[in-house]
Amino acid sequence: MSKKILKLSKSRGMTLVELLIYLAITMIVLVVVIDLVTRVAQVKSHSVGQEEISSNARFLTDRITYAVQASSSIDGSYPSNNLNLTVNGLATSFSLNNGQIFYTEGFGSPAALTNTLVEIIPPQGGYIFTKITNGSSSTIQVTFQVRFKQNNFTRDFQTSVLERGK
Amino acid sequence: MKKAQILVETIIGVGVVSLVLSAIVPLFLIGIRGSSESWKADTARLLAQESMEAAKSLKEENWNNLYQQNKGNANPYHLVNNAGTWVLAAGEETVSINNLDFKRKIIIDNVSRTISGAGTPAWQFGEIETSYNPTDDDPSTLKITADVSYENSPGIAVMDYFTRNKNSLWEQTDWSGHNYSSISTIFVPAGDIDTSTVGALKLGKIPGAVAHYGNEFVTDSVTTIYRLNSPDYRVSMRFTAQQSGNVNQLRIYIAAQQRGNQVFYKYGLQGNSGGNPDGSYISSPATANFSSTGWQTVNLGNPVSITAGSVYHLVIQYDSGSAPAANRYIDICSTLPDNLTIPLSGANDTNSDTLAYYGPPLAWHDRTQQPLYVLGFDDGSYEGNPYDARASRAIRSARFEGETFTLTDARSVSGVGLYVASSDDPLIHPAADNLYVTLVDLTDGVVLTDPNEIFVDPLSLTTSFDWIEHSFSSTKTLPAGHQFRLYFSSPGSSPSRNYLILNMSNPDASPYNDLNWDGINALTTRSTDSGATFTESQFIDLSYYLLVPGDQYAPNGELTSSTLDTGNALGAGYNRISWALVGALPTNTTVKMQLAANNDNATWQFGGPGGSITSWYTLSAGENLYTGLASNRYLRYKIRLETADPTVTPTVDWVRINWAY
Repeated sequence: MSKKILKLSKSRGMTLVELLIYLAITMIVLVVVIDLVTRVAQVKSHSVGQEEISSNARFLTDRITYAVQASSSIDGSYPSNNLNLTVNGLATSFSLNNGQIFYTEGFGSPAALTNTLVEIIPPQGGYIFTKITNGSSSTIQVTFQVRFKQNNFTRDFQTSVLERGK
Repeated sequence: MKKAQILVETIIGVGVVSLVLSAIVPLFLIGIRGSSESWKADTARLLAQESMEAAKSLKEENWNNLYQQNKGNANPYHLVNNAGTWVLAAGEETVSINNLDFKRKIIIDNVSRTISGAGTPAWQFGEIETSYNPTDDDPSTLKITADVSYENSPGIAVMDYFTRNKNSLWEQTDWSGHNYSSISTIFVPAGDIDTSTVGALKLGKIPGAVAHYGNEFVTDSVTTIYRLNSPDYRVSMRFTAQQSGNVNQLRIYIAAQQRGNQVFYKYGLQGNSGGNPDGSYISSPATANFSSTGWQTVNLGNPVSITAGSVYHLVIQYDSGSAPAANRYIDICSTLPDNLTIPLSGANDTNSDTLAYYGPPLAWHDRTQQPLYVLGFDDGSYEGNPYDARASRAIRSARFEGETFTLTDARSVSGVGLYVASSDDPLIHPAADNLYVTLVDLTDGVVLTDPNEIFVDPLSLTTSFDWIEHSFSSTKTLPAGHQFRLYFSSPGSSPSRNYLILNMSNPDASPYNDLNWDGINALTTRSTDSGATFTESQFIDLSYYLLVPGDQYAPNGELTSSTLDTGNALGAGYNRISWALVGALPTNTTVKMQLAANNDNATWQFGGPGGSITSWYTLSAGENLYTGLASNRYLRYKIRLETADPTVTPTVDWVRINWAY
């Protein structure tokens, strides 16, 4: 009995210290795991937004580049959020409407070049399309911001395209 | 005891979890960074595209926007939208996008292209060279590199070649009606250049002048260059190469030798250095010992490539065997005078001479003799001087003598010239008859000269050979392709008092017969039966010529073109010049060009490749122009025609200059 009591009391003291250590370790592990989970979630969201923004921006700049290079004239006045071109004799336009860029060729109906997951925003205090003229050659500078609506993540884009078809 | 084990296990467990986490966390970090890098690369690409497109816009506006900038990596530029216009600004720019700084610049580099020349296959002409070579600069091509870098990344560089657009060709083929700025009038008052015919710019004819057609080569005596009786002595025969090719055979004439079989001499070609042999054999010389006199053939084991128009020396010197000495030598034959002429064509060769190297002190000496040599080429052709003998021939009683020839070009002739002497002193023992000349068109069977047309009377001569010219009573037209016989006779002259005419000869064999005057088109002709029958000899030629009236072209003439106004106030680019001839360029004639450009339409400083006032463009097929002409608005060319043979002129059909706005 006395042996058992001695053994018990000895066992209890150890348990308290152990408990404290366990608690401390658990807390540390929890903090690390929660931090990691949070980061993973952020990365996923970041990645999805990034991908959405990139694919929209890339498609948009590619289409604008192709159209401007092939155009025989740049119509309308600039700077503007609408780009009006004549391509292969057809009136062709890129226009900003409700955060999306729409492409219209001839009398066809407008086709959205960007999806509704993102919003195309003109640069602050400016316009998407700017015309830069050197002699008889014209360049269209394209500047815009893309916002991923789900998490308000944004990226800015800027490039220029020379009108070639003379 | 068991509980303590749990604590240890827990600590170990936590340690393991930490290890696993430390391995996983960097993976997520890489994922985050990778995702972040991709938008940076996209942005850099778009920014580089913008630079390139803006640079292209500047190029479209005016080539000089880019061309006149400083070139190379040390001179970066960037493009700025200045109130709706792209302008070039020095240095690199920083573009801040999404809170990241992108460093952006463009580099402008010169571009050179391969040009036509030895060793360049035709399909490679005009290719862009991998490394820039200023001498082949193409002023109408630039290399543009748009570079965008960010953070520690090298970023991206987009490279493109820009070429000048609005390429134009300035062609002139009609200079008549004073469609030029000026022509020289040094030789011909009406102009040394004849512009009267569209598509035929040629040298002007000197009024009243007379040219020659015939064998003007003469040999007064046969001699030797210098006896090679010392190991130190050398002899050289200097000549201007008449054709380009590989020489694999040398023929020389040994006039005398003693114990020639004991001495080996080197035979080979050397380049020219200040008139003397340059001292090193091209390829390697052949070695030979000759123990007989006369023409000898030396085959070159290693053919020597020579270029038409360049000066070479055929150099002979001791090689091995017994040393040359007073009783052990060879003598290389030559003739006098030095005609400075190629026998076959009558073309000038002002470099023709023999030289000998002797002393003391040892040095090269001009011998002022006619070199006697034949070069054999690996294609079976030959060139050189084969005339190793001369003879004077008596014209008397039934013995007529002259030259039979076939003309490749039609000629009008007004008279004839000939070396002639009296066999005895005409003041004491004159010939009993005149010397008569007869010219027959053998093709038509017509005698062109007057009956008994006197060439010279006996009292006009001396006992030495004099050059006598006689004018026909009227100008004779000799059609191309016809064969003619020109002969001299003096039926009343006797064996002791007669006329001597001069001829040269060579071995009656190939290739010598092909290398004497006019090759197989000209033969001596002899009759011993008062002209009833004639015998022709290929290996002998008379020293004579026919006078060709009014056909003497000015030796040279220059035309300065009208002005090309490119209309580009900032200056145009000039790329290439070429021209075409009517027919082939005649032997002994030259066509060459210089160009001048300016912005004031007044200061004309003409120059050739490299801009030097003494250099000329000489390749009719086309040559890249001196880059210093670029960036000037006005251009003129100067064309210079030259002939060393007054009976022929080069004729230019058109001149083209390729330029870019």
